Amino acid sequence: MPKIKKEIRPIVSDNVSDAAGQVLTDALDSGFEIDDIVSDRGPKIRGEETFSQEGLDEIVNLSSEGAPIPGQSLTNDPDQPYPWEKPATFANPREALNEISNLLLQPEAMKNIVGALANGAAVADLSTAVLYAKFFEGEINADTMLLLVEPVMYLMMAIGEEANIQYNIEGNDLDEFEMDDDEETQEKIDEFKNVFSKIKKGGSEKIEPEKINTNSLPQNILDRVKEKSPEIRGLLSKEEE
Amino acid sequence: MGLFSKIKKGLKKIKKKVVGGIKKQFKRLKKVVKKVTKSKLFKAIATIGAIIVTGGAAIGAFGGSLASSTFGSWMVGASNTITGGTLFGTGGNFLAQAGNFTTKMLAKPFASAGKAIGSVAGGVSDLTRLTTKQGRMGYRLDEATGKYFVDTEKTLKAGSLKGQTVAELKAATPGENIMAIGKGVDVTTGEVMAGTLQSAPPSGFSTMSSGQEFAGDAAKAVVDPKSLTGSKWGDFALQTGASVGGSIATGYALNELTAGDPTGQMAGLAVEGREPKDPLRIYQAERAMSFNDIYQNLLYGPADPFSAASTELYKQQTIGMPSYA
Repeated sequence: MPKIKKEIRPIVSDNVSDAAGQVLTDALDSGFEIDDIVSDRGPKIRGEETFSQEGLDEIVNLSSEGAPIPGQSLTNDPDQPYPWEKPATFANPREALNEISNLLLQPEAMKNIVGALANGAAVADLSTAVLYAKFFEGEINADTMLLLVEPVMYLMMAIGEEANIQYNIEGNDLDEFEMDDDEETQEKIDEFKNVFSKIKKGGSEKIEPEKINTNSLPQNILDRVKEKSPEIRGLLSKEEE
Repeated sequence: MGLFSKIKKGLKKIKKKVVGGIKKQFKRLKKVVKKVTKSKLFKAIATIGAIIVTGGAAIGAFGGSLASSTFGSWMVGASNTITGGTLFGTGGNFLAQAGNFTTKMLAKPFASAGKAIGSVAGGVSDLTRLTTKQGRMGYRLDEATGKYFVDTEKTLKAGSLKGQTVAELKAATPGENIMAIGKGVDVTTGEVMAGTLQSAPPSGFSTMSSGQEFAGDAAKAVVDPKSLTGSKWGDFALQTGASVGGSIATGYALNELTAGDPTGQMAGLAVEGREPKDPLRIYQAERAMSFNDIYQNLLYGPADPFSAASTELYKQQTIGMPSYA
């Protein structure tokens, strides 16, 4: 059990990503290991997109339903406005998020979300679809919809992580986090070069038997080193003339 | 630009910004936190983000070992601090004074969310075939008979049911089965739940072999669990991914929801702009025609519109009207 070094410090942030980052660094500074926070559950299920003719046919059928004629909305009776033209059910974004979170964390919804993520749907797309639908139904207004994009995305990401799925965040970026970026690749190359040069440098130096710590090796091995020491040289050392 | 076009554009812009923020945060932490695998780091960010968003309720919701872990306890403390309004700003800080939405929203998160859903997430791992419901419930498959037996050590304290098959338990009447003992099994942990269940199955839940049904008290709160969003498009977007699969379908649906206004496609990579209208504007300008009177001028067909409009064909009377001298 890790010893907690310090108490939680107050965090002020204007977005969830930054707040999560601060909490994580704070937790690690407080003495937690990453394994205390998240456990390893083995290899993840890859949420790769797969083509489905059935799905495509369904889309084609839906798209053939037609769209409204330009200006059609203006012919509506003002006494019977569309849901999004009325005051929103949830005026407070916090209450709206409460409602949506409760809905998303229900078993049926979770199964759908996990299934969708496992089939390659992106978190950003699913989140916006849910929020847009809520706006369309008149539960939230347009401003609230935009404000809730990030919290809802985090909720869906956590569901995906809990289900051990490697999911897309936006588009087809499944392996983006696993891949090394250019900076990281350069760092690794530099590190390799340093190690290599150290080996090269160390290899060119002769082993001096008198400098060997006599307490760390048995005497018989030390005797053998002394006996063979002129012959022990680094792989890259020059041949003696 | 209409209302929906503006909304779609705004949604697209925000989506890009949020995704960019998440990726930027991940890259920042990757540099700060060394010797941690990327997947673990990202999982930690996502989990903590969800805990913050739900005001700590996600800890209970996702169950597993997180709630009972040291970090879980620490985070609950953090969550309490959030709930108390000190972590994400009080009235004293600048952001709160400036009316920052996030500060306000997170300063008083909803403590109720997820309280009734602690047993739900286990089903998720079943779906991904990481676990099985039987395993979580403490049932053991007898390979010889192919029947599920109750693993009494894991599921029940009482030994009276040892060796009984699930089928036998299902066949038993209320009063002789699990319900009669008054103990239920937590579907997430497989542990015996504290307290006493009802002596008879709640209405709508006639069997006791299913873990989800035991968690029925939570499920009962759902008004319409079959409809996630309450609308065709929202449900479609999620269920398409789940049932027929593929981001082609979901992507199309989302494109329908969030894409910008359609523009005409010209040859090559050119996109329809204002330029094609220029000849028409020049034509009108040359003939001193006003844009406001556009509908009074004939502009279609191969003939010169100006001269065509003056021909008898377009001047003939189509409906007989009485003339008054």
